[in-house]
Amino acid sequence: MMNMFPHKSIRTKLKMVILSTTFLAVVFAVAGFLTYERITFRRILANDIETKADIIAENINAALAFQDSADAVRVLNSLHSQRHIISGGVYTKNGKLFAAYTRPHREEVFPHEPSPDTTYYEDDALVLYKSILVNGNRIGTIYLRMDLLEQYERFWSYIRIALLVLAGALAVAYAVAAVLEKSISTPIVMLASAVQQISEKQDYSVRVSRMTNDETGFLADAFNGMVTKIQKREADLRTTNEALRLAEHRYRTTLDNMMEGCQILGFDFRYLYLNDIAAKQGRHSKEELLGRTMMEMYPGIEQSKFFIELQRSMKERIPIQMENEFFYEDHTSGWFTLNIEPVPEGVFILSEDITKRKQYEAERIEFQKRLQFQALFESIPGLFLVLKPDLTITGASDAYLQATKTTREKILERNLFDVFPDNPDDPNADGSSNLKASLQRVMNNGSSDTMPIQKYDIQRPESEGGGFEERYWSPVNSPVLGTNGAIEYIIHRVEDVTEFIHQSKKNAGGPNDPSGTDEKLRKMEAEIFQRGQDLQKLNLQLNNANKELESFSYSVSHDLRAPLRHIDGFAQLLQKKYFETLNDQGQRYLNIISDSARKMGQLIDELLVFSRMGRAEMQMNKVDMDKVVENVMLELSPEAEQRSITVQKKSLPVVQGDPSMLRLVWMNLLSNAYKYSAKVEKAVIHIECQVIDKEYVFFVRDNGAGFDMKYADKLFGVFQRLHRSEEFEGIGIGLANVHRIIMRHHGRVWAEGETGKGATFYFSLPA
Amino acid sequence: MKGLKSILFAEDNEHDIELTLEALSEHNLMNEVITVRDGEEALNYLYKRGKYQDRQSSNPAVILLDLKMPKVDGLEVLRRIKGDDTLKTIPVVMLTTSREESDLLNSYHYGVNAYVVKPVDFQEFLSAVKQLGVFWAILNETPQDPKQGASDSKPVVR
Repeated sequence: MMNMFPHKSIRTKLKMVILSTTFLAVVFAVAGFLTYERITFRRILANDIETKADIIAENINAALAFQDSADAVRVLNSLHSQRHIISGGVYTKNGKLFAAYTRPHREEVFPHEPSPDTTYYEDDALVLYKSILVNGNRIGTIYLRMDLLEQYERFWSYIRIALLVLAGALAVAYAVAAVLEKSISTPIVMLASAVQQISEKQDYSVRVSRMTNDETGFLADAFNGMVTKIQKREADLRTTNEALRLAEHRYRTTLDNMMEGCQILGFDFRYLYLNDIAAKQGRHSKEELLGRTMMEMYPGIEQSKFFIELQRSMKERIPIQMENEFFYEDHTSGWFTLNIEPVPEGVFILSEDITKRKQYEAERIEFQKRLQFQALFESIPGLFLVLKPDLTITGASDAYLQATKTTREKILERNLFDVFPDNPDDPNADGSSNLKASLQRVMNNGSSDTMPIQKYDIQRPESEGGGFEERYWSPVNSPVLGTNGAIEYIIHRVEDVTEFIHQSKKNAGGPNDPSGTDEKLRKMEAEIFQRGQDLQKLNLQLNNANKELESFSYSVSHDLRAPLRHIDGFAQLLQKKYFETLNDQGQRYLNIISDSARKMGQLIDELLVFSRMGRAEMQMNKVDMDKVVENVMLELSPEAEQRSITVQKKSLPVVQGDPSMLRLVWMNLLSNAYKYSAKVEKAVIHIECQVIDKEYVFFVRDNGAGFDMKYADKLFGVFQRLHRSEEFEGIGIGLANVHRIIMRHHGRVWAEGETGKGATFYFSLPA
Repeated sequence: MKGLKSILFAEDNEHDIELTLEALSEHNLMNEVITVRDGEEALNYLYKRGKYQDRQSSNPAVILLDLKMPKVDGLEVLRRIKGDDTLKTIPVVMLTTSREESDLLNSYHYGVNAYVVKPVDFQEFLSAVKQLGVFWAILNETPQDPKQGASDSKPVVR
């Protein structure tokens, strides 16, 4: 049922129910009563008007019978006392109005003829027609019309009474309702306010008192019971929550303060929790990591073994333990033991940084290996010394210590030459300086250096009387290169050849032993040793000579050219300023002086180029000979102008060599070919290469002046010429250069020719 | 000649000095040529020491340096000039007999402005010195000498 007053309180509603019930009851009663009253009253009125008509008929029948209308009017006028009669009339038997009465001040219309006997109500009047009978004969008809004012008056007075009754009834009903309503609504209102209090203040201690034994009483009991239960539940919940909170806190602080890294990852690999250690291990702050995924933070991690294991643990819900090397963005790495446990949120990872431990382990293994290796090295049956680049001793074999009569403690971490000085009593001692030079060579060249046999005396320990003991050694010094190619150590290996030297010397000086091959062998050995010593000396001399040559060519370039310049300069000044005082002969002499000076300058320059060609470092590279020759011919093309030259060139290979040097070779050979074929009408130059015995043999052939094979050996000498410079210009250094360059490429040069028929120049390069 | 910058010429060989001065005068270069006989003297001139302690003139427009000189050689003088903030803007031209690669490389390493090998042929020498003089003492612009202020020092050719 629809609630008509959803917002009214229950008290109001109860009152309204009682009052409206009372109101309706009274109204229905009054309505019934009024209806009944109306019906009854109308009947009374009809009887009353009929009685009046009867009285008038009694009184008027004589006047009617005698047609005495005046009398009739008199009778009718008696109606005047009847205040509700509006009008009255008497009709004759024929239906003619005989007499009429009308209430004063009223205009009334009478019907033309009377109706048969009847009584009826019109709108506001009661109308009556009644026959006047004399002895049963109708002699006329009475007509009466009466107003209904009386009825109305009665009706209104009834209404007034009814209203009074209604008011009284309602007043009583209200009083009764007020009392009754309280007994019903009070418990409900209390219940309602209790509920409100609970819902607003969460105060579950509220109870309602039971007032009646009816349903509200039951309701109150039930409510109280329910609240008690809720109160208990609530208390339980609170305790449980607190316990949970404590547990959670304890667990968080435990994780936070753990020595291992702890982290919880969601199923999408998002960081849900991590402690400081885990953040430190991950090299990101907590703020950076939390809420982000592992893939975002460590791009490329998807490919790692760790991630695959992590996925497996996540998917299959299994715990996984592993050791993992984690690579950071800067390509450094750390080692971790990882315990991966599935948890409801995803996975929990417990990580322990074992980088240091790993390092330590590796170092320990390395150290052990080294110890083993060192022991091995020290017991090796050879004489070894390990030097650092600054020549401090960092290791020595037992055999070495024994041979040099020293101990490890005395020499380790000390400079080689502090420990092993030259014998001060030997004025010719050069052992230490030779060793120094050898070590220097090792450091300069990064390659081994084998020294000839050295006399390098050793110090006798004090226990054996001190002083020096004569010793001969055959040393080899070898570098140990680090990964970057730098020298990390030098290994100095020696053999004690003192015995051998003593023996050799004895034999060399001693009497001949006619019998033995032994003797012969020893002699040969001694000779070999002597040769070795000689070779070393020669080598040194050669080096010095080379250096001298270098400084010589430098001073040639600088010092020889200066006076030449002065000769030419002053000769020209002389010619210019003292022109008049010189005759033709004098002038010619001056010109010759100038020319000669210039010529000599040119010679010096060429000589310098030649010497530089011998000294310059070779820049070995791939050289496409085809391209080189084409280039050189392009450069020489001005010389070929206005000449008929046919060049037949076959395809040339790519060789290994110094590009600029090889270019110079071609330049010299081709310009020679151009030059010496200048006097031939139709010059033909042929260029080819053949592979003969694993060698490339290149040759340039011309049909020019040629040469006499008698002098072929002079072709490649410096400043050697087979033609006068009036015939062909030149200073005779080009082929010398060719020779030198090809020699440096480990090739050969030679030439064939015949005077007047041309020449062929060959050079070979290793294929 | 006030305002016209000088040329500092360091050369130990008297013949070379004579020929070079001859070549410069041949081309009517009006810049004063200060000749010093070794590297030490060149540095004394530049640092206003010894007999040059009262030098009033501004720094030279160009320094012509021989490589091989007694006491302090040309490379060392060059190194000192180019290593000194107050001198390094002065152009230095090596005028030498040496064609050695190492001399060339070292000179450029220390920041030489030009390297000229003296030709044996006197005619070529004349033309080389002329070009050097005209280019470095006249055509080439250098920053103002800080000690001299903004005096107008446009060179003049007679």
